[in-house]
Amino acid sequence: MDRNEKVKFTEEGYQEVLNAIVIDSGASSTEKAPGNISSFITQGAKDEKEAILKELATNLIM
Amino acid sequence: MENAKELLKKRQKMIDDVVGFVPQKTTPILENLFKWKFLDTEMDPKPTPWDFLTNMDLMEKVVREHQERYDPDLSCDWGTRNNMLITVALDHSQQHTVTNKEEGIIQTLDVDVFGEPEAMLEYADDPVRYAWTKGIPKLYPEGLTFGQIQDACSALKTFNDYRVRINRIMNEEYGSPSTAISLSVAPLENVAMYFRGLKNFSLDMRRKPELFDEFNEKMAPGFLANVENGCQQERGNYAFSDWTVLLVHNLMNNKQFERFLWRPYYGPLYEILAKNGRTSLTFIEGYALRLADCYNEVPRGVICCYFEQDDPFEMRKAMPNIAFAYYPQPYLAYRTPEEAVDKAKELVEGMGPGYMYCTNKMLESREDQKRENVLAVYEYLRNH
Repeated sequence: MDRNEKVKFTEEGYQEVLNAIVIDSGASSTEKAPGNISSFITQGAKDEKEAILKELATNLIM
Repeated sequence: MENAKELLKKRQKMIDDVVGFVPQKTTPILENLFKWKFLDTEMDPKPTPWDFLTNMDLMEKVVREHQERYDPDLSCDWGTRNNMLITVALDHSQQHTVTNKEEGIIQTLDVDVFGEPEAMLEYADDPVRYAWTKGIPKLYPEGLTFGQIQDACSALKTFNDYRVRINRIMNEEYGSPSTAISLSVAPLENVAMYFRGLKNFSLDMRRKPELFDEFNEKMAPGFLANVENGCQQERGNYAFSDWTVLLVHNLMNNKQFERFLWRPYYGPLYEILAKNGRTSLTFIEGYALRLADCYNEVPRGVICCYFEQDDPFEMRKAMPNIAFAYYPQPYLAYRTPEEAVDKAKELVEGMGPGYMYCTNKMLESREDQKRENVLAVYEYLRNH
């Protein structure tokens, strides 16, 4: 996706964003920062990318 | 690094002894500081509050400086609890927030994301889907670009990486345990704080209580599974298994608290911890004494509670099964070091086993405490 492209807030738009975002490797993705597992909303995410997008989506409405 | 490892184990035992009411020769120090650490720094030139909150390397330096000067046993945060980097990534798209960069403050306006009380059930069915398809379009009416979402995801990752890094540093270099494996805030809290607003929440609770029951039935299993998962993890470098935070009880009478928060969430949460031999650091905002009937159900040895408004000796009498962390902040701000130490002595001797130090207020401004008072009180707590 182009950086200037407006995101579609639909189920299809969510998948497009999920496929397009890039998460840099930093700290090991298997390491849990304290408090992170409290985000039970992200449980079931198949990888770190999905967990981060789920966490971001729910944070953006707070 | 062996010394730090031994110190960490020693601190874990000190905290266990507080929760288990084992008499101690010293009193553990739990700090509830936020920006005060930064405001107290001797860095020259002094960075701005916004720099501190958005530059993770700078945050690490401030946290190290603070730990080296005061050496608390445990901290509620090592930098900040709120990720300001996301706000930077979204630039001016957050119309429901007010950003004051000079003071390093972000205020979230009381916005009704749900629009109608029934939406809470739709949210409960799939929070992420609701947020993406309904909540975000409402709060960002001009939309967001892919670049903003990408940058916000990177910001979240950067902040999470910082938390991993700073926890490792504090564990391995300073012997300070991380606070808790899991953080538990009942989903109903977010309905009040963020999705419906305090006024609407309060009215909904009285007009449509059955909606709250249904919401809780949908959300409680995931909430409790998260606590159970935390209990299945090894303790590692953590002080507590769960950090339990109560805020919205302030809008409820005792019957509502029992029905909407205690029975669905907190009662079962403490049962899970007790069953697994694990502990909770519990924060109760506002007044806590009136919740004693519920808290008396929890066995001794599970909870250390820090609170704000109540008299600690009344709390001890009403809840003899709960360990407490308390110290009245005005003694650190407006009294002499001697008076501050006398207050610490009164609390240590009066509360007996099952007591540790924590200010009854999160400290955010420079005036919240004087350095000389803090150092004098800590010196007493370590050597009484």
